[in-house]
Amino acid sequence: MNLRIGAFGRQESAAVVLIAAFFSGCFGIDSGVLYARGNASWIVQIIAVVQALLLFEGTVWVLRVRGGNDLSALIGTSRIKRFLAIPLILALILAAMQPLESFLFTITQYVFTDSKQVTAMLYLAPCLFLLTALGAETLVRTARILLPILLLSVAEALLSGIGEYHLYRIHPIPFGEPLQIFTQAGSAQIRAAAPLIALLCIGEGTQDRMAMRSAGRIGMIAGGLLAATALFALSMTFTYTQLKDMPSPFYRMLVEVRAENPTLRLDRAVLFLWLSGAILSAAFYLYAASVLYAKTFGVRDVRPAALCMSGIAVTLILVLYYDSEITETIREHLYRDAWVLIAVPFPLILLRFKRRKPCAASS
Amino acid sequence: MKHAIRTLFQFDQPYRRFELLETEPRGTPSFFARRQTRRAKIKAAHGRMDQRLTANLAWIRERFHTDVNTDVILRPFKLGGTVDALAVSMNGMADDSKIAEFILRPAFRVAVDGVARAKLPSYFREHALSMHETELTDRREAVEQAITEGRTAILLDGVKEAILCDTRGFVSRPVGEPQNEMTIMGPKEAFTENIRTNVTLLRRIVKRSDFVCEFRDSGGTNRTRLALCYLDGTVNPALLDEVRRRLDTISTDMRLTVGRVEQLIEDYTYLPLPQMLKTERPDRAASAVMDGRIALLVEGCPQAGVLPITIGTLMASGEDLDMRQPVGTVVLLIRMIGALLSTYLPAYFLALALHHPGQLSGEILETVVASRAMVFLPLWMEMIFLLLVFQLVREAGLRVPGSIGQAIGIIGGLLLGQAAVSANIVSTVVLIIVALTGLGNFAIPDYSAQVAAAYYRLLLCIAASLAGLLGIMVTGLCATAVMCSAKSFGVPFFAPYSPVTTHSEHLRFRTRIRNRAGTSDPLNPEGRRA
Repeated sequence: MNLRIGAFGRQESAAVVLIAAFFSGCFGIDSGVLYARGNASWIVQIIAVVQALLLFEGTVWVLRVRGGNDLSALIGTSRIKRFLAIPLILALILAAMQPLESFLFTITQYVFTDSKQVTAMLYLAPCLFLLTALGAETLVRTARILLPILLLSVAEALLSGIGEYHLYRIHPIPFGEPLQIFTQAGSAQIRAAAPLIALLCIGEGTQDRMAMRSAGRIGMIAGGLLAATALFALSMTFTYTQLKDMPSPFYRMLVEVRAENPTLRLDRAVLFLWLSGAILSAAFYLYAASVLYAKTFGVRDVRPAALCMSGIAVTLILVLYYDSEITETIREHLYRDAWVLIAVPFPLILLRFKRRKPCAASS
Repeated sequence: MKHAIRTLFQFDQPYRRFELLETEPRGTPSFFARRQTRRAKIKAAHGRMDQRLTANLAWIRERFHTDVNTDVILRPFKLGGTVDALAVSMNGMADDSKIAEFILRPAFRVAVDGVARAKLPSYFREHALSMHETELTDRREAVEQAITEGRTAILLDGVKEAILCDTRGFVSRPVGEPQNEMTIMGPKEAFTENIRTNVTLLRRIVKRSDFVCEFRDSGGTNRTRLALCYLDGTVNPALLDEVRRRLDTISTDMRLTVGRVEQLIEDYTYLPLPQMLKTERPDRAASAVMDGRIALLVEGCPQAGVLPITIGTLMASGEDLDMRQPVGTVVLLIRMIGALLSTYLPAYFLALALHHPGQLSGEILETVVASRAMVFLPLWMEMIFLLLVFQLVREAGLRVPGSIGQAIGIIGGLLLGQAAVSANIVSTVVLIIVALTGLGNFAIPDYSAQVAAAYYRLLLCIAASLAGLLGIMVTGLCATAVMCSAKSFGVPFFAPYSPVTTHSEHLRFRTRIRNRAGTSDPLNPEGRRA
């Protein structure tokens, strides 16, 4: 089988999870939904990370008990059970779409103001296709190479904005509505759990289950907390009323900071550097979805599936981008309710359905 | 009908024009004809020698075309005055005095009465031949190969076996200084075209009993001598087997050089980066061998191919370890910055000037606009034109003798640049950018890597002119991913950075030299590691 998983170590796996967790957590947000009632985005992010880690630990534990290396081992290839993979595949495609969509909007809104989304996508799509088709080994190694540069750029962006941070802006935190915070954290599961689900899909390439577990833990905690820190910094830069109507707040924060310092006008360079991280994350999710599909449905080569998944993601982004009430409603529902795609199949995958022993034939 | 279709699709030249077909005398070949011919040739070459001297002589006359090829010297003589014998050698390749002194003179004097014919070759070898390196064989292929290499084959009547004597004595260049890998510190020796000399140069540095030089013949009908040099017990055996297997697959009739062998056994044909380090310095090849790598020497090629390599190998020079650790680190860092500048600077400037002028400060923007006021070429065309001119000057400087090459560089750099600015063909800002790019390019130690950087630079410039920073990002990410997916003989290009193979070594640019043995970890060698 040509699944292009390859072999990779703990640092590479942790790097790709970290990048994916950060970009999904920080750029895959819907400001209108997240900042609807207050400024609790960073709390939501932390709770979502904890929930995702619990899910991941549970799955790894079940894998250890049953003796498998990846998620497809739990799903199996039985005719009925393999359909449980479909919601997860959809969840991964959605997770891939979220940061890409955000960046596409930023590019067309703030950088190439005269161009359309299709034009920008014309450049992004081949890169996405190539990365997805090259396979897991390439993705994790590229992530390991890019990680220091990305971390440096994020750290620089956060540190250079210190002068703009004001603690009073984080109010109001809707602590009075814990149910709403937990609901939002649940809704954030697509972007929080996706890196770990993707890692579980390509678990075969890691050295063993323990390496996968530690890579998932380290990557998720570091990436999730970095995203929470970025969201916290964002909350201190803008008020929640401003953030509610701000489509790509993190880039706006960068521009605001840079506006004060004209000698360091690197905001667009940094934006495109981050875009490479977003593409890498999207390719990671899409490749993981393709591997899950190939393994559960017995496809021998992952490349056609990978190209199809990338094609679906690109098409959906462009279709959902179309400015109409219907697409807006769909988008809102996808951000709010897509957690079902993870919450429903996962218990069914983790549970073991034992066949009843046939009764002894009465003589 | 067939002709009509051919005429329809053949645009380059009219049909029925004269063509030199490969099988003119035999008419239309079958589909597999070429392969059959080659097989037949190989089968003929793999035969055994005949007992009769006349048959062997006829075979040699046929194989070497002695009717027209006067280089082959056939010297008949009587061994011990009784047995008909023949010495075959290649004029110019073999040393005449060695043949006369150590083969013919003892052959006339030896007494062979009472020696059985079957034992005659070994008797002659043991009692008369005063040569150090001799060999007995009855394979025609070996005899043919030996004669072409400069050895002398002695054929005896009534005996199947031939005696091969090492009489090689052709003219070769003495060991000189490296021309392309000049260093301030360290040795000044360079490889020559003679494979034996090259092996000796390596052996003088690697004084270990486990240093193996494995000689092999490779190629199709024109068998070329190669030497695989490695440390037995240190080199990864799987790597060695794989290299041997790949060398055995070479069946080309081309002349083999290190660069051609690299392309014939590499994995990624379309990757611009080299997958084997080509060095003309024996000290560098020896260091690589001691590190657990394999050095490949090819007869007639004054370079050694070192494999496998990583991006770090391409960015290192022979004298890096001669420098002190902090200084070496700074030098390596400057090289990295130079490589990055060389690859990304022109594209970044194009992207900012064409698509994101807001990112440039007012002063810089004014300077750019002022310098381009009279230039008629569009900025992207001006940049690509200058980059091509730079490559042109560089190539011209490389292909001419040393002092003239330097003169071409100066003339190209100063006069041409000044004239182009005066003629308003290029602007001063772009000239400065290209000059910086050129300097950065020369900071990359390996020539093949420099060319690869030029390739990526051009791609990035085109992408930047089309889509600004977006184009650079997309092209850069794709190039990085492709390089991350590539491996040089099983070793990932970015090792030990990605994948990380050692715990802390990768965090430093240049590791300190420690007083203990060690080999490079990414190669997964046997024995002790760093």
